[in-house]
Amino acid sequence: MLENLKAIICEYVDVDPDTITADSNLRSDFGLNSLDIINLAVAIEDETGVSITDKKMASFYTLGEVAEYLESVKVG
Amino acid sequence: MEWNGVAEYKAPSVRELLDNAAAKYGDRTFIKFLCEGRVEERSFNRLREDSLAVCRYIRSIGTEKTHIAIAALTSYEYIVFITGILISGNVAVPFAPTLSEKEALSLFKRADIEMLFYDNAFNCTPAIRDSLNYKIAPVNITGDGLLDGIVEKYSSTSEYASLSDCETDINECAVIIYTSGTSGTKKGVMLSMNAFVGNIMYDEYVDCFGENSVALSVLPMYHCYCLSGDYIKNLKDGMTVCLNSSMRDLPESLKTFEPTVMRLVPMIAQTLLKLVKMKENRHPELTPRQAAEAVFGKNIQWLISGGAYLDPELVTEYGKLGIFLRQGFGMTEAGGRVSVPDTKCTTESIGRLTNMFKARIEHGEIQIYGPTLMLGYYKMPEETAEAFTQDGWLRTGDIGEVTESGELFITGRRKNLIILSSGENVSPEAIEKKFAQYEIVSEVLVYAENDRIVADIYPDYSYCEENDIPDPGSVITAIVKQMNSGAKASHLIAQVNVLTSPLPRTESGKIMRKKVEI
Repeated sequence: MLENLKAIICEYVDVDPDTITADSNLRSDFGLNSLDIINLAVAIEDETGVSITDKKMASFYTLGEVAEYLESVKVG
Repeated sequence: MEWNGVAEYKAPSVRELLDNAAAKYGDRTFIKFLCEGRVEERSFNRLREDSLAVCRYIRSIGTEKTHIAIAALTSYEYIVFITGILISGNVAVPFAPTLSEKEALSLFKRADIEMLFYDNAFNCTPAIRDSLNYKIAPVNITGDGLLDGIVEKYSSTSEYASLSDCETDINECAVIIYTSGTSGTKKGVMLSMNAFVGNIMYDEYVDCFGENSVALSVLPMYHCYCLSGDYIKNLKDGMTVCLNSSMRDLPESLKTFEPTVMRLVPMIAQTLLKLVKMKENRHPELTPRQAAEAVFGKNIQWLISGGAYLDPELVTEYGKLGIFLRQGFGMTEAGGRVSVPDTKCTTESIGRLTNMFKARIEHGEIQIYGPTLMLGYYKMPEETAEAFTQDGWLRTGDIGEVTESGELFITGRRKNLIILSSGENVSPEAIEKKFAQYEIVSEVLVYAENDRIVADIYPDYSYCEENDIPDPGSVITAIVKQMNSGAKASHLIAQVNVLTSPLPRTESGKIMRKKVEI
């Protein structure tokens, strides 16, 4: 799942994929603003079929947290 | 007020605009919006009929002038209800639906609210419902069948028909819009109908606002910039306005409505550019314009930015996509916009003054004068007096310049201005902007300490690592030395502090300024 998210992030912002880890911070490491976070949720939904509400998406700090949530939803 | 040779400037009322638009454009579509995946359309005639019914409904409750709050997201109902308030001779007081209970209770009391229209985005708690002395219980304007019921009961053939024949004094307060003041206390800007409508009656510099143009409204209608621009101005111009009430729906709205023009803030422009880049990355075969059209739709021509500083680089990037992005400048206190962009404006300017305003520079500050300035802040006489000069010009609080052709430039905020003991004024923002060209500088804050200019700089440490710069401090010192060599004596940076952690920011994400110490 993390690899999927990495791919989405790399399409959205100009960032070296090798520097992205589960601890990468959505805002400080990728420079995402509140609207970017919403767009990211939409892109994730398109890619994985899992919908994330704006509020839920805004509660995540790191990419790892997003991946963990997506996995828990998929398993559940 | 005498204006451009006219003894007394007189703008049309919202009722006159509505009547004129309905007479001229009739059943042509004015408003479009998405409803459960379908595109709904409302004509100029329909908006007039629905608004008149709401006007009659409001006046059936009472004909005394009432302050009516409207706390809701953008929707067709929002437009109908705010129009109903405006043409009924009452005072419309728009609020963000995201107000907390505490804020709502305090602001409604301060604004003497006696009626409340809201939607599902506003949490109309029991405390809000019960605490104020409302003339009627708060009304959910998007409630099932509510608008249809009002339109049926208060139609032009009903017993209430004559209630919409009301005269309004265009010089009396028609709107109160609360702005976040610099002191932190929200101030209610009182605008007359003459100011509110007059503000958009300027002569156009560009031709993107014709009857065949389509605007997408993405900003909240409770802001003056959006309400007067996306609604009132487009009503006057006979444009079609498509509504987007949630940022999440924006990509879908763009694809569906394919607008020609959009008013936005820099953050939205930045984000949409990222979506275009994403399209380019996913589909390398697309030209830049094709990638832009995949996001914005094929008709997009103009983006008009306001509300915050627009990075000229963003203007250049959009230019490559065949989209003309420029910025205007406005203040609620001025009735909305003060300057608007045109095709000749430079990328750094904040637009050209509309012919509703004159501007002058006093002690570095831009001051403006025209017939659409506010009446004052509601129940705040001291703040009102401070907002104007003795001869009635509005202090913008911005430091800047105006060219002979009316092009405006902002270099900083007056409240941030550093006044050295030599009496010289230094705009910290003007110095900070000079650092923008250096990739090694991630954040910078300029301020005065002991009558000297100091710069706190947080380097971009990842850039340093990538470019093998072990000592960012020495590179930054060299940059400052070079900047100082070409600077005026008063603008010399006397001290540089290289930080190891980012600068503290305010809740809204802006770098927190230090109090000026001379």
